[in-house]
Amino acid sequence: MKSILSVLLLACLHPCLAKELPSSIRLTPGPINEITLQVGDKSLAINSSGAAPCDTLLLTHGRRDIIRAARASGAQHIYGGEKTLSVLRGAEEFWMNWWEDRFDYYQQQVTQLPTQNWPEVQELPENTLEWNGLSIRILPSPGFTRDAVTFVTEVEGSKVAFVGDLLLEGGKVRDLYSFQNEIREAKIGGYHGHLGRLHVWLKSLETVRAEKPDFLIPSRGPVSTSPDTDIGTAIRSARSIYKNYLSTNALHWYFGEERMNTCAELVLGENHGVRSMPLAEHIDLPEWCQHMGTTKLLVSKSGKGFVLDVGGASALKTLQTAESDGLITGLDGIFATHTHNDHTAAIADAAKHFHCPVHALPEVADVLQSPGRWFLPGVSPNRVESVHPVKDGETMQWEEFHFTFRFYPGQMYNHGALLVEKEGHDPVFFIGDSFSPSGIDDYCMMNRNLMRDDTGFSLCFRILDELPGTTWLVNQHIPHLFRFTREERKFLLTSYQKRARLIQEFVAWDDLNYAIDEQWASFYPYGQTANQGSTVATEVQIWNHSTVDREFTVKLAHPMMTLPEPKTQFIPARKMGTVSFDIEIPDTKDQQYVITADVIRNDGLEESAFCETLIRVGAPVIKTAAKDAE
Amino acid sequence: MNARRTRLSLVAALLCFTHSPGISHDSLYDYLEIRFLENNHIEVTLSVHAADFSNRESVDLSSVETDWFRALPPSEKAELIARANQSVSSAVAFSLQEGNAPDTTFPVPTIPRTATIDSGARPGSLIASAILPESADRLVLRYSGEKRLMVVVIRPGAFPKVHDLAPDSTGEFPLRPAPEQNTSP
Repeated sequence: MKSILSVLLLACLHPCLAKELPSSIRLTPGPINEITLQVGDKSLAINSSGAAPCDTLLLTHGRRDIIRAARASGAQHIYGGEKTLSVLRGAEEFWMNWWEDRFDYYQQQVTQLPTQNWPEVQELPENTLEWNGLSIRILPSPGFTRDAVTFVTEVEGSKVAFVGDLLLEGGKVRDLYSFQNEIREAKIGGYHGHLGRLHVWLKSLETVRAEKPDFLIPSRGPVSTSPDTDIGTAIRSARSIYKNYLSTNALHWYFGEERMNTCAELVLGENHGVRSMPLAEHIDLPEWCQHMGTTKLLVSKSGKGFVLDVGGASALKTLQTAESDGLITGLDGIFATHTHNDHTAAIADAAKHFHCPVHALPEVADVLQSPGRWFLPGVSPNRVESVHPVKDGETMQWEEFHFTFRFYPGQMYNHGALLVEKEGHDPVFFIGDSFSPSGIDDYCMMNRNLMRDDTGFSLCFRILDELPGTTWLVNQHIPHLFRFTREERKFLLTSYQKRARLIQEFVAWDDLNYAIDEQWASFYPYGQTANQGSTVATEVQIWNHSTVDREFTVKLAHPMMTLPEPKTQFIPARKMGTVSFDIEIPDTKDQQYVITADVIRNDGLEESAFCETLIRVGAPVIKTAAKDAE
Repeated sequence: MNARRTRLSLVAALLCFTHSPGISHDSLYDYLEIRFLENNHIEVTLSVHAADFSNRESVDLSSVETDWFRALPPSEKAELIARANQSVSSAVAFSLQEGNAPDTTFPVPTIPRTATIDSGARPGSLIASAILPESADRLVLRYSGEKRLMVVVIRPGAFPKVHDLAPDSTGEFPLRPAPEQNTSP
């Protein structure tokens, strides 16, 4: 990343490039580029003018760091698109509701939203803004965000497009997780909507391309002086990645060819040529394994039960009925494969009813015991009082079954698996939700599917390779045993590795995991309650995905709180580090504080207001946008 | 034996669990439950994910919340149910005797009922149910939906038996006599 940034910075400052830009446009590189356009004695800024005074400021979209930079510009007249205004007028209400809405959450939208309302922002006209004799055309350009617009104008004979975060120089993007979205045309929801706004983004790129601009001026990184080339590169890269994804996708099993074809056609066109792997061999479950929704019940010869996951009241009821019908004498234990609520919501109730222990890998156990401290897809607020953590590789004999617990960061990072060996039967590896007979369950980036050799699906494949070839796999949703042939595993893995390379070329980071892992820097706890006037501890956990050692500086921010000074932490390559803070809570009752963190790497990269934590004091009242207006 | 047919229709009985969590993955499947009741009747319940039929952009297709459905104007609710009925009519057809042409029409429900948590129907689902005639001895199901269909056969005193039907496939389920129960201690 350092070398990329250096090149980008140099390119920004290069005198030849500076000459090529119209002289009335001033660009100062930064975390958010300071961009101003001077006409006479008036100046207009795009997203940020830095310390320079400006009369008017235009917002391309409403991400938190953009809004913070825009606020600092002190413009008299600020304009944003209709959708951006909706974000800015409902920000405080969103965060108050988010205290509860963050649980059982599956829409999977990026949370880098402003924390304060900004009612002074005016709505942009529909098509063109006339400013100081200059016509600025407004092109809706959603994709990277839902609310984005691009501003196009002609200055000194050059056509310039101010694209915000739509595209970076070289045809790259800032990250991929921002594209997660439902794909309505294929009836696929936000959680399963991997790169779900990609087709919208491609249309936006084509719209901008059709304008034939001479420059694309993004809000990060250098100016694109070859818009047509860069847009072409971006389109090809994005399509290659998506085609690769579809060819190995677990959703083929659930949704079939027709709906996945719809996805393919949206991004790749009719003759998309996506060829998915034929479904892997699958057979019925053995009698000793009962399928109940997302719950698997293992039944011993003596009639005892051991379950993997208890996802809801219906599964618990079925287990209770099995007990009352004498089909099992009770439950000896519960293993939680991962932290999604369709696997965990009734674990606490089941443990109480059956008086049995709950086993989980540490990465899962803490989420079960302290759900409010985490923000991950579909975390259930139903706290499990006691969890017995098991180590990767730990074994346990239960009745005639030999168990081996594994850390298995497949469908999500907080994920385990259980190898079950039993005399007279091929080994059965219960892999949670990590594969289906059609491929890889990596459709939701917020699950943290890290693409690294040492973890993520690479590790999952390696564990599969270490097991006997006769080993069956069990996905919690699927009432079958299935297994991949050696060739199928090879196809899946090599395709996956190829996709990692494609993504690396597509994103402006030294390591692609920064671009697919929204939580490479995140607060722990994500949410906590506090007493007024007290001091609470929090930390920012940072995963240095880079292959070199780095220092990270963390600076906390809140508009009204006095916060600790920034701290710097050395983190070795590929390791996780934490930066701890004690926060003094003001002596005010019934408040909620949304504190953000700037994360600055020692190579100069700065992510402003990148992650957030919620601290709630008492029972604050939600102030709705309507009340705000009153 | 005379051909016997039975029909299902979706009823606007969206499950309304007060504290029902949003469980996205329940939208992965449609469900058909064949429940053998204590009185020797057999109840068939079809569950389809309601959000799949919403035209509102504000309703995420993963959603199993129910507030959005409750808030729909009556006309929009009726349109949604009509779309669901139309979809189900083209996707699910069954007969109660081998060789019968499967029924593909689903008029007014025979026995509409309010779903409860005990029904096993899924959160955020529209459900249709019917009681099969006592003489029915098999159910032949032809399925051509847009996702897989989980068929769950629930007999008293036995573990639920699950059958997983891919789109464009047919399943046959013996109804009588009751098969041997699963091994139990």
